[in-house]
Amino acid sequence: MIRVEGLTKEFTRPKRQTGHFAGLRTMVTREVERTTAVDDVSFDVQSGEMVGYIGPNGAGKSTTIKIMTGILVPTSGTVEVGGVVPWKDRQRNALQIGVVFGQRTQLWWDLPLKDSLDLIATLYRMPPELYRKQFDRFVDMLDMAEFLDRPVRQLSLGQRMRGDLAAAMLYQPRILYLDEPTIGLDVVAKATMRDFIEEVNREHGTTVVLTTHDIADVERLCSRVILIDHGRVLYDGTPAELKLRYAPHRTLIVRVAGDGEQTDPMTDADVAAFGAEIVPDDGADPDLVRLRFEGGRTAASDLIAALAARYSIADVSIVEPDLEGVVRQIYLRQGLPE
Amino acid sequence: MTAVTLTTDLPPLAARPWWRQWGALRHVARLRAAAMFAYRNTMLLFLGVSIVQIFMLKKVWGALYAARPGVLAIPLADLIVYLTIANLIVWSFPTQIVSRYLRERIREGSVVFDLVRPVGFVPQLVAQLVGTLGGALLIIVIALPVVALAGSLSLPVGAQAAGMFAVSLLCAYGIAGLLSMMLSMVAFWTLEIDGLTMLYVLVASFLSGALVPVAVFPGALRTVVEWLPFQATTYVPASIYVGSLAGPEAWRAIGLQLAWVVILGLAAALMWRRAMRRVVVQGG
Repeated sequence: MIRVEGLTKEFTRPKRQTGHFAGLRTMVTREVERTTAVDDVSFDVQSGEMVGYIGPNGAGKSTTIKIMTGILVPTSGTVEVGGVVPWKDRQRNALQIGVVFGQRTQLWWDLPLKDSLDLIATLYRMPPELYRKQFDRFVDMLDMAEFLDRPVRQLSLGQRMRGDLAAAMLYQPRILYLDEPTIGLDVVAKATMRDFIEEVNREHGTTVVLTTHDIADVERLCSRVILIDHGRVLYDGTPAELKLRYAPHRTLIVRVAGDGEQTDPMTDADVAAFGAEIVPDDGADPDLVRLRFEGGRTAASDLIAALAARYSIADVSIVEPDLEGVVRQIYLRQGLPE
Repeated sequence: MTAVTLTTDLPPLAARPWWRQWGALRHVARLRAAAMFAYRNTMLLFLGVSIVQIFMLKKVWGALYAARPGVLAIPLADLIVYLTIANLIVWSFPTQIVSRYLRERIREGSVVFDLVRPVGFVPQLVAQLVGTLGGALLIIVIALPVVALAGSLSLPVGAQAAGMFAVSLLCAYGIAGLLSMMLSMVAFWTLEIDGLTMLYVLVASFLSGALVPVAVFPGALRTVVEWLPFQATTYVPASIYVGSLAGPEAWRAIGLQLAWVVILGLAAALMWRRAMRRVVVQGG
């Protein structure tokens, strides 16, 4: 559905001068600064796929989206969306895509929400009966009945975002670009948005490219993540694989039964045989032991069974590596761990 | 959540040129007019200011005529009608509403949505301008009795003058619309057009002949003004209306208006092409 190959986008701007009359000299200078926002990015997205396109601020995510929607023309590389080169055939591309930019709104600020939805139905030439059906369904799903007749400028952020999401999906576009659709929303509103996106994807096989800083969005919705930084693709694959590769360790927390009897403290040597190691802690609670093991190599059940055979265990729990932690590490390191 | 399932997905739509998208454009225009009424108090205030201006012009010119009878070739009664009509023409097309809106959209980056619509950006802009025209005309019709009282109104001098006035007025709106579009597009480069808009309104309202008929301007200034498009937005249609511009001279003025429409149309198209090549959308 979407094919991106060798995509590069450079921006130039007049070089900012320093010293005397800096402002004036900046205005008349011919010197330019080049920044590469997107650097040789390639990926394919299949029809019906939901892809999380993530990366730290300024990584080049929005620039890629703007090129895919046909707003920006790339410096080099090719993009094909549903058989159309977006910036060459803006109108045909526009008819097949829906766009949400979470920080901006496509709704008419001074008019009731319903007026904007009506206009979108006309712009995308929706047959009236289909519009009515979609409208009723979306109003119901997103719980919008209460504020349909209120001017958009009076809506809360959550309400406005629901309106924007409805506007982007009303005409059943084949492809949906969601650029931070949950930014600034509370947990309930986020959940509503995610459910809605998921349902639309499931029902219509809508292809979704989702940009977000909330990793929970990705975990909940996406079967695939593309991670970029400094304009380059660092990772492209499933979230599970990302975790497995860059945070392979699960942690088993064991509470040894403190029944007065003095048991030998567990040592690394004791657990090494099961492919685990003890995580050093501050020793505040001597009965609590954390064991780190690789999920791919050791089954948790084997480890627990082996431990139970030698120690008297009161309680166990397993902590999974979280995607957010993995992503945080990658952002901080500004690159993938080798 | 409901379990309604839609079995009919939309068939892929074919692209259409703007002239086959009347429905969509009409809808845009209607929404723009509706948005104007969302701020009807502001609109009425502006109309009030305009009416006061018409009234003051009537008083000033009346005093001038009383002090020096025959100061202009045009009779005082006609002059007052001219000034009333001219100010109504200016007021009936508040293009700054659209420029301000567009500047806002460009500055905060929401212009992206206008650029990913299946209807071209320029046709949308024109539709918005038409919407402001429609909205303002509606308000004017309601306010006409007050306007007539403040200034003076009469019918066009004859049937031919009425017809020519209609043609000339259409051209005038075309020129004013194109000028404002070009002004708005400057925001694609500078992101800021407030100062420019103020300057434009000031210069345009004087040079258009809405305060002083262009025929009164002294030699050199008059030549300059005649070579600028502003007088074609107001002076020409208003003069045709009261009959001070008639016959072949009037036809020539209309021909000149048409030439302006073509020139400004080409210039705006060129500007638009360049704007699109360097469009930078604000914000991440």
